[in-house]
Amino acid sequence: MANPQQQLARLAVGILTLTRGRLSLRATIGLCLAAVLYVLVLQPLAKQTLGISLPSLPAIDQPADKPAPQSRPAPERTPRSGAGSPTGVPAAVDPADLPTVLTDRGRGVYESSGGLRYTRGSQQGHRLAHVMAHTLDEPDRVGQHGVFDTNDPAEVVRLIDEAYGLALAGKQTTTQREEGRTIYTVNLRRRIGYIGGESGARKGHPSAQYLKLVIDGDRVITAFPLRP
Amino acid sequence: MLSIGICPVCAAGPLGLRQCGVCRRVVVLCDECDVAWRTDDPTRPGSYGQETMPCPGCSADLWTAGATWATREAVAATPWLVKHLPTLVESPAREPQR
Ligand SMILES: [Zn+2]
Ligand SMILES: [Zn+2]
Repeated sequence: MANPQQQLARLAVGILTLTRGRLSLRATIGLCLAAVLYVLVLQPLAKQTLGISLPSLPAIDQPADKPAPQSRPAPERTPRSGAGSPTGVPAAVDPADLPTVLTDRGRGVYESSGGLRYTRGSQQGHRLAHVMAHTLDEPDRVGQHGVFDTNDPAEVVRLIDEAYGLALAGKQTTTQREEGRTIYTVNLRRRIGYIGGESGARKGHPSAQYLKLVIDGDRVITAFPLRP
Repeated sequence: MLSIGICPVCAAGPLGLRQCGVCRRVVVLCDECDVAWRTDDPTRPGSYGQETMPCPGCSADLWTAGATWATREAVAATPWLVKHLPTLVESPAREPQR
């Protein structure tokens, strides 16, 4: 059993970490007082009078169902493969978690500061999730599968906005129009990712500095790095 | 997923063969840019997905409504696709995440 001072120190840190921003100051102080009462009064009293050892308070670190936050990984230069995941796509991304780059317009529609709308749709269920499928390689996918160097959704949204801005200004862009689609191929003039998929693997995953952006009006359909 | 080439619209997605869950037609579908055609002639008008992916035959959603990637048997039973049987490319399918 840990000594009372150790137990209290561990517990105080745990309570403060867990409740930060979620409980009022009064509730947090109440929790700490209850812990002090248990460790300094109840535990010794039970041992003295009844001869039983009450269990030590557990160390509280992070909730078991929530992984510890990690700092954003540095841009990768080696292929990240989605082959190990059953779906071949990254974990679900919620556009509501990106308030700095996307504004909620309701009914699942999120608008970027560059004026593009990410809506429901695609086999992933939302266009942002569809775009984020390009942050992992799919080595068995037929043809080219462009993979962004970053896997940070906010950074991907900003990159797409940057390409859209260039396309609207008619800079560094070739444009193709189909009945229901506008397809921009934009030269970002710096590496933004690499070519994966079967064809990319055959060529040794060459780097990509172009972004293909397929839109329908202002709705994003898909976007990914490519080599034209 | 069985495919017959690369999409002429986005130049990246495979042209997969999808069987509609409602009209049971086998259609050509790019799962990258969500465009579908009734036949293997992409110069003919296609259907364009937005929130759903309408079947070019009956407009049912090709991502739900019981649609699946077509089997070789379904391809063999589709007259305009028979000529593609010897050259079909088979690759792992992305399954709809809804
Ligand atoms: Zn396509
Ligand atoms: Zn149909």
